Amino acid sequence: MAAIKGKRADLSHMALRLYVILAFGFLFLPIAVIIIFSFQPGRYPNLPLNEFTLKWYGEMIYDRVLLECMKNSVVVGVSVSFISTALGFLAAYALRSYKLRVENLFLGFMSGPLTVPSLLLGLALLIFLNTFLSISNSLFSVILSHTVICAPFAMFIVRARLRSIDKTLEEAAWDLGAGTWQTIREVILPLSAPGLIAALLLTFTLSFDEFIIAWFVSGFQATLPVKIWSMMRGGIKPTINAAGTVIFTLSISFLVLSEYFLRKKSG
Amino acid sequence: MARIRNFPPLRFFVGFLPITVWEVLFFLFPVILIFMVSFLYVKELRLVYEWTFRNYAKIFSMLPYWEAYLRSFRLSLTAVLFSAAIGYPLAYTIAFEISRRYQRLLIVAMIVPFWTNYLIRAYSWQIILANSGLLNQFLQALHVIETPIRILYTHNATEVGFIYFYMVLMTLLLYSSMESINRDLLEAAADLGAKKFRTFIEIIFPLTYPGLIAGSVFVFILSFGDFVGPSILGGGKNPVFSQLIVDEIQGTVNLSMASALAVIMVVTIVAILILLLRRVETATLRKGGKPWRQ
Repeated sequence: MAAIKGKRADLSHMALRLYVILAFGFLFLPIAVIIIFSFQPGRYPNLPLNEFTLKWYGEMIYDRVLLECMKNSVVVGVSVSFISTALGFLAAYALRSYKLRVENLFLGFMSGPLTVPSLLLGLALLIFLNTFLSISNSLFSVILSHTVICAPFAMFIVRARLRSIDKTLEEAAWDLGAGTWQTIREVILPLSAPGLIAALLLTFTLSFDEFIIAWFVSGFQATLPVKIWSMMRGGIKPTINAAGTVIFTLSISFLVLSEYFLRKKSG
Repeated sequence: MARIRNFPPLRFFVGFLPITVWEVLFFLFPVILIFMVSFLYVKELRLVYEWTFRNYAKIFSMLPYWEAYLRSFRLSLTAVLFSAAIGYPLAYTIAFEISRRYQRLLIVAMIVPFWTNYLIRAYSWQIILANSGLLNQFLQALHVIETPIRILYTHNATEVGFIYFYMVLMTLLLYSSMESINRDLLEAAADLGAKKFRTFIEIIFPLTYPGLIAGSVFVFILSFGDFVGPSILGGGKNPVFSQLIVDEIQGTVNLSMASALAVIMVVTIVAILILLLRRVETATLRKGGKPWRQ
């Protein structure tokens, strides 16, 4: 399409590129604001920037409640990511091995928890766990609830990875006398490891960042987002910026890591 | 007895059963429960197991519920329009004007804000849009305005939040429908003398239509069900529909009323899904194209 290469084409090309830059500016503005003002001394954000300070990070580290909530979130996130990835792997491998007659129905059902607004899921789980099963609200309920969303998510990630593994490798293992379990252990698991790691990382952040469901079912054991919510209700506090910057760094490193693993070739 | 011979082996169940049981028990069943609970009522903070329509009667007879519903509907619809208007040129530029090497990079970069904690992003918009916030300070420093403009705690701020939160989803869906367009088609159009604009109208736009509809559905559902954005950024005196649900859960602890409101939300979402996704189907059948890339 090198035919149209006049001044006008150049101009529209430039305009579109400028537009992309502006759009990305809009997308990154709030993140930049949080990070920049977490290093600013003033309680209220003011525009001519002042000198750099770590004061709010210091305050955050000595906030016992905040740290307790962070620990709660890590406990939930780790449990959820391992349960979800295990459930997701089993289903993804079964999907690969068997032609399910109701495959579309199954996949549709599994994408349900990812489509339903978490407000509705939270209400449903609150009623079910708390009112009907009389399980008092706790981190245990949060783990059960987050796995509802994270297990299908892990399944879709692992399934995409398993698709890239050549079927002949499995067949070769069988021909050489390996049983089903041995094939899974020695061929499938190592080859799908990058997908499994990505699933662990992504489901961890998904759970670590989730607020509404945790708010409904966590009871007195607040997770970090629940704690941040109550801090936000109390007005502007720069420790929120500091905590936000920490959470951002964590989520994004996990995202970048999982992207690295997903792009990695097998073996 | 072919049935029995075809009975799947143990590992079939080891694979499918755990996740299925989990999702049936903790997703399907609780969601069905919402429907049932919406026909019960609450007395002295306890559910009374007696079928009744009183929750629905109350909702349909009181104006504030209608107002909140319409407010939510309007806000979500506006969010769909804006995110399509902003996202379409963005997706187009990334898919067609930028080399493949940088495409992947930009897409990952776009997911970064999307993958950042939702509360933190909303809080940041609070800092930016407040009366004494960064935007007003900036505009006053440039002498564009004299007195600060009030954006925060109005639903204009909610709208900014919605567009910011969900335009990424719209852009990604549009991008993936653009990326899967066979480039030979564009070459062919160019060879046959079609200008860029005509190529766009006759090839690119029809082929991205399913992506546009899917994006609209997602943006609508997510902003309609969003509670955090409106409560942190919006006007508290004029609640949106999702805030009414949360008020019933965390405030008055009336779970049956909350369920009835939730059922109305579910019905709205399902109606939108059916209405719009059917349009994708007919559009796809007419064009004979394949809307989803595997």
